[in-house]
Amino acid sequence: MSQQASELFENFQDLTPSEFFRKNKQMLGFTGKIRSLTIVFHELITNSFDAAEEAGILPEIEITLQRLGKDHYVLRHSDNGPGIPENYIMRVYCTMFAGSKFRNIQSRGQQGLGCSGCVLLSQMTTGEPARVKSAWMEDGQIKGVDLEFKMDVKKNKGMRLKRKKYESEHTGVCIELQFKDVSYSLAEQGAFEYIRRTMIGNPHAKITFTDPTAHKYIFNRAADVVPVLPTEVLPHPRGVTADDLLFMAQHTDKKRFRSLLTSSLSRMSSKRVAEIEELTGFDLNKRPKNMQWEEAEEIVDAFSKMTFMAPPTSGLIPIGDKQIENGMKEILKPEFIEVTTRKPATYRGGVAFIIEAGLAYGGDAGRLVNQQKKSEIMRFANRVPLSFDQGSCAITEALKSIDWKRYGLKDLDNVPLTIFVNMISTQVPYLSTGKQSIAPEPEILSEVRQATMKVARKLQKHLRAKKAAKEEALRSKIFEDYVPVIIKESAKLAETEVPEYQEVLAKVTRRSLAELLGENPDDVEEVKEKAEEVKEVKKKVKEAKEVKEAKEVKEVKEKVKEVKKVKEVKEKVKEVKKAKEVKKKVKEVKEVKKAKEVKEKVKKVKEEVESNNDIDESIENNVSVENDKSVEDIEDIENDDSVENTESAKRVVSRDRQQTFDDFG
Amino acid sequence: MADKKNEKNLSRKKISYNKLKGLGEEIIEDVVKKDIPTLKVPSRGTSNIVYDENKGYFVLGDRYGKRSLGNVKQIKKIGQMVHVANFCKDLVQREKTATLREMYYVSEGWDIGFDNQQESNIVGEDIEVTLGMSREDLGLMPEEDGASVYGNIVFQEDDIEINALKSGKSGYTISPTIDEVEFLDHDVERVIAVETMGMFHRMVQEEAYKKFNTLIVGLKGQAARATRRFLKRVNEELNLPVYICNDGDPWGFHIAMVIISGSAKLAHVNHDLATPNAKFLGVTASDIVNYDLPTDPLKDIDVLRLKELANDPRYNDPMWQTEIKKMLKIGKKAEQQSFSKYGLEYVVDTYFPEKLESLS
Repeated sequence: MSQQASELFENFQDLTPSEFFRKNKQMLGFTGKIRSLTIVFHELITNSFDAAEEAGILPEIEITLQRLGKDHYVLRHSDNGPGIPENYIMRVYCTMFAGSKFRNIQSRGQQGLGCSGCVLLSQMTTGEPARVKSAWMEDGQIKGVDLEFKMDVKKNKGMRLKRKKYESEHTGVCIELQFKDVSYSLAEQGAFEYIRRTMIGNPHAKITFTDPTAHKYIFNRAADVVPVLPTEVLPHPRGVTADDLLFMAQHTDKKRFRSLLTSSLSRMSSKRVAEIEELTGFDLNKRPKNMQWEEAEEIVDAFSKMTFMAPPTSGLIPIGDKQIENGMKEILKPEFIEVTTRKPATYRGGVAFIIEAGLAYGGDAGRLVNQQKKSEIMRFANRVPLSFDQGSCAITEALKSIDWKRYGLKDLDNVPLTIFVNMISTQVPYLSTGKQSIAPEPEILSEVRQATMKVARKLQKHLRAKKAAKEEALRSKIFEDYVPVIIKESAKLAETEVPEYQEVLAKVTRRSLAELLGENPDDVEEVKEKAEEVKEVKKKVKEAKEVKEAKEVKEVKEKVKEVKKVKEVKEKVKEVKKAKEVKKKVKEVKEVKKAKEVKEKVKKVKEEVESNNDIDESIENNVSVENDKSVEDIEDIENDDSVENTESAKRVVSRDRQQTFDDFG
Repeated sequence: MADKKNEKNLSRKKISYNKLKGLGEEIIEDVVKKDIPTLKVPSRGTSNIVYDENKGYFVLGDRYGKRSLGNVKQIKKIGQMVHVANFCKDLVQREKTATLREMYYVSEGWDIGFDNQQESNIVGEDIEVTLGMSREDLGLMPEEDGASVYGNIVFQEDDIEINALKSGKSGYTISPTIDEVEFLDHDVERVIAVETMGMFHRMVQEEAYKKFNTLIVGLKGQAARATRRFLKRVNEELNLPVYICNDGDPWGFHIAMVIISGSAKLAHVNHDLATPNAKFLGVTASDIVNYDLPTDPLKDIDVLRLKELANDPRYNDPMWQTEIKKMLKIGKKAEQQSFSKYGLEYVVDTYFPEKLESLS
């Protein structure tokens, strides 16, 4: 007897997200004891950071992990964020897919699963309720509540068990959860390492962590500026799918396709819209609510055939060189550090991203494994450390493809080196829901390579300089040790007194330095000799020049004298003429008073003559200025160090002299 | 005559002393002139070892390397050289000798010492070539004793007179300090050097020294420096012809050749060691054929060595070329002692007289 279809479907029911994830907790990243705990840390820290930053508060977190039994812990996590109003507390912690992060914005979390996932894990492994104390600002007052609740998985909702008043001096949330089947580890994937890396990517935060042995670690902030909040940017046409477009069409308040496109996508000018119209043949004045799947598909297809400006990058806020450097310095105390932030780039044609890379060498950089320093890779996406799935990650792949030998690291694995790479994007292309590795998009690989190679070059320089300094010290020590001994022994051999040898020692050290710098030491000696020759030649040229100059000056002076004489003669002629005129006037007027006036005029003329002399002087000055100029020319040429040039210098001198004379001619 | 020898020895010492002193003076002069001291050390690379046809032995060419105080790699060598030079000067002055090994241990107390004995040996050779003196002149003696000498010759070693005929059946042992030894008297006409002590004793027993009026020298394989120096001295100072009788194989040939023409390795002192007019008496390939000696077949390595010798400039002489070719052709070699086939006395009674006659 066959069952009727309706019977078959009697057991058919909706599966709530909570129920789904209860059965598939690995999809939240909860696989393995160590990893599960790390993910819990990750979710809680991430949420606290995001909340604090949005409220413009410098994040400060206190975490206590207490061991209750084998693989059994209680975790207390409190922050100084804005707190959660009572109405929202259970929604935040008990409802899957509730949250504020479904926007095209650069953020740490993305799916709104994190906190509720932790509560779910706690409940699944211990059956214990969650306890949350929240304090928030309301109407200018701090209000607080202390709740105990469980998650009703079937309903995807919280179930309140206890409610108490809670008084706090500042806002913030404190959550207390119990876990079983998790374990605290100091391994690279463990919770402690997660905190350490978090501090590097978030130097503006402060975390106090008390570990199961009651040891208290205080990670102080290395920067005290709240990061600029990323802004939401419209998705780029190349980054959307037909489904995205359809979703937008259904949720828009725009009346036409045309306005929907321009308002919900970036880089969508009216020119581009016209292009779409032409490519698809659609009437873009249709109502978006009526958009069909085929239409959406065709429009998206048209996007792929068009050229758009790269997506806007205003929504991307990198950590910044200085901040990363401070963070790495605080945690790693390296002997060398170099950080770079790349310019924004895009992958898949439409998603903007920025790669930041840093290298820290020496000090506490690298990981200590069996008393030996190993290099470590710290991967980050939007400041969040990626602890797992290292092998498949674009960052790892890009770093592996670099020929590290070229940068002076012969054995990359065994150097005290920490490589930091952070990818900033509104959409980080994770390989899985665990969000622990980035898809190896070619553009991402290339950017990671470029950024890392840039800092690696700086590291190479540092290593070289260090090696050279060490070698130089070693070399000069050899000379300082050996030269006196050799000279002493030689004197004994020659049966004479030990001569003064400081100069020879200095010479020898200089020579070795030249050798170290890759110059031929013999060349250095030669150059020195040459330099001395050149000096002598210069000296001679100078002497010759002085003689010439003296001659020139004499000649010029003579000329000036001549000119002066001519002028004087001219003046006298003028005076005489004027005197004649005066005489005429005297004759005409025949008055003594007027004769006085004439006298005054004569005086004036005399003054004029004197000022004429001033002009002559200024002419002379000009001449000497020009002489200086020619001297400069000669000096320039002389720097070429050869006798031949001295010849040409002479020519220049004579030419200039010619010119000076021409000026007078 | 003794005085003359003494004088000669004294002047040799004086030369060594002055040359060592000169090495120091060279460096000090540079320092006083404010120059970086450099030393010219003749190159001992194979390309700088050339065969001198006229002299009949290897000499060093005129290429040399510069050792500068300003070079981090060379400065240590210079330091070691001056130390060794001072050590040698002291030896020469005090008329003492030391072995290289002793010097190596003494160097432990130096400011610039050696990492191993190999290094000290090389620096010793550096000084030899730089000054053009043999190490014996510098007071550095080889470890090993020289050959045994039997026959009527009287030596003076320090205050003791030694007659090589009255020094036991194994004869007088040539000491490393052979240059200090004077030849007082002798009544021999020639010197016969043999490769093995077996043959040496055979000749002593058969009274070959009387029969041929000769000194018998037991080489004990490759001739030590002291032995070669001794053979050169008896050849040149006493005008005695030197004959060498070895096994009839490439190795025997070469033992003879090193006495005659010196070795490439010691090219810088061959003028003191080589005895170019010493003669190879046998066993030759022709002897093997003519005397129908018991033989062993040539091994691969023997053939290889013979071919090497054929290309060696020291074996340019037609006699050698013929013998090498003949040996390769018959493919056989024979030991000295194989003459015993015809009775123990045969070699002294028959072989030597015949060969000596053919060579003189």
